[in-house]
Amino acid sequence: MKRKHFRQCELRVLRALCFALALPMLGGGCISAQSPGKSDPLDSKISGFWEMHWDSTNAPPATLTAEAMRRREDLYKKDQYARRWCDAVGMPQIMTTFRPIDIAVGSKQVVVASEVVPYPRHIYMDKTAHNNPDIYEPDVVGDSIGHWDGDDLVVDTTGFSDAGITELPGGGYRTKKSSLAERFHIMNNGENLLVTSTWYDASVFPKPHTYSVYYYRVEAQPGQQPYSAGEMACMPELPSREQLMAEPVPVALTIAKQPIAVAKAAKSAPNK
Amino acid sequence: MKSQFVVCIAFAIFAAILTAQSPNPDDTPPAAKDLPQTAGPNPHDISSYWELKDIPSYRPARGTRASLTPQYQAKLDKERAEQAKNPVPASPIPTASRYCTPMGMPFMMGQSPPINIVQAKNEVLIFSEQHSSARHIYLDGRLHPPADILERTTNGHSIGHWEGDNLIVDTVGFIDNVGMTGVNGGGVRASSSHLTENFHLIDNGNKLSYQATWDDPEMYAKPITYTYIFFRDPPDSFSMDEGCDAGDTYQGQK
Repeated sequence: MKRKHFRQCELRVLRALCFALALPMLGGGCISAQSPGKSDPLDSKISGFWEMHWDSTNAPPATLTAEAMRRREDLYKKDQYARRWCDAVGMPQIMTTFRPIDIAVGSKQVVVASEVVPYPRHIYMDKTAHNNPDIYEPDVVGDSIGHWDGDDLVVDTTGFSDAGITELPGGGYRTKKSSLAERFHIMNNGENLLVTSTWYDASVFPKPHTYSVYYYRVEAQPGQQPYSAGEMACMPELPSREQLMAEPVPVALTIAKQPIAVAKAAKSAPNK
Repeated sequence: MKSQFVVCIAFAIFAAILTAQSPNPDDTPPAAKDLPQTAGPNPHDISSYWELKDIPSYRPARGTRASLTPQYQAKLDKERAEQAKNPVPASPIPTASRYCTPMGMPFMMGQSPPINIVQAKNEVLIFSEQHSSARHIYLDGRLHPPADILERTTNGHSIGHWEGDNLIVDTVGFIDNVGMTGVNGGGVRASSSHLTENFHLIDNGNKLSYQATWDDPEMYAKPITYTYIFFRDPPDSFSMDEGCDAGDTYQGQK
């Protein structure tokens, strides 16, 4: 009687032990499946070199607040200073440069590296909250956190400074009050990447401003080496760069009381 | 009697525990060579923020002194003699700092702020918080481009592969006289330089052993090697990029 009871206890313990060992494996499988629709985020087709073509940017004209309209000329001159001295350009220019960008999906971070600027974008995938503003120093690329929505990468960015080149496609400017929501969406079986950006900044836009950029994957041609990143040599010490500061402000930006769409029509007058 | 015996045993055990937990009396970290060589649970992922600390065996201040070729030594001696007569330095270092030129290799691997390594499927990228371009280490099996189309950069062109738990990286295609070019131990990064690196995790993945070997037949009589030991930063670390501004107003020129 005692021996039979003892064996029953053994069986109960064995079942409990097997369940305890199996549970983490089941849970781990569920967690890994939450990454981009695949078991490994490193398989994301978002990784790679991407470039813009002439038809890449779809940016409707922005509607600006009256205050933003008044500041356009001064902000343009501030951007020219950044261009003249080869400053780190930041967002959004890092995403719209004339050289390819390299997007790399890692286990905890997605980075966007540009050949034109030294400081990359860091998109932290293992954080659900932005850095504490008491310790985080705003910069030109901001503080980005991301998550997967199926195969799409969704990014939220705050913590911008107003340094670098701040103008946005379609109009308006990045400021310290700006925040940005982006969606990276793969198209055509990985040959193209559509990035939709929405800027929120009540000091600049009465309603959020949205535009998109359609990238083309940089592929090696048959018989050629795969693309390797270069390094742009902006040389601020060159005296010729001083000409940037002497260039007149575009006419459209000096017409403070007219919306940008109207100002573009009036731009038939020649300007340098 | 029995209770006294039990008390004595308990006291002895307690004393043994206390002794085992006592810190090293001089609080000195172990030498790099004595660190456990285990890579931890994921030896093939070196993604993290990694930081150097001023522990002599972890980052040798000067490293092994370089053995220079007679021709290069003569060139250095001549340059020093000319600089002694001319108060304006000929080194590119003041230009790199003043005008925010990308610092490049080997400076970006030996600087004080943490480096950020992000490992993707076919590429490892290394970033610096100080003014340097990203390092791209291609793991897709490609070769270095032919010399006639190779675009020279401050970080060179890097290709890598895994040998066991060691990431072996081969780099050529450096540019001359741009950025911070000095090599630990002597010599400089040049267009004729060839760099071999070995990255591998140690101390259960808490540290990254980094060994660099510079080979340049125009400069070195034999290759020069040095080793750094990086510490893994906490998982909530984030980048704080330098934001260099070359403008005259910022630099105090006006």
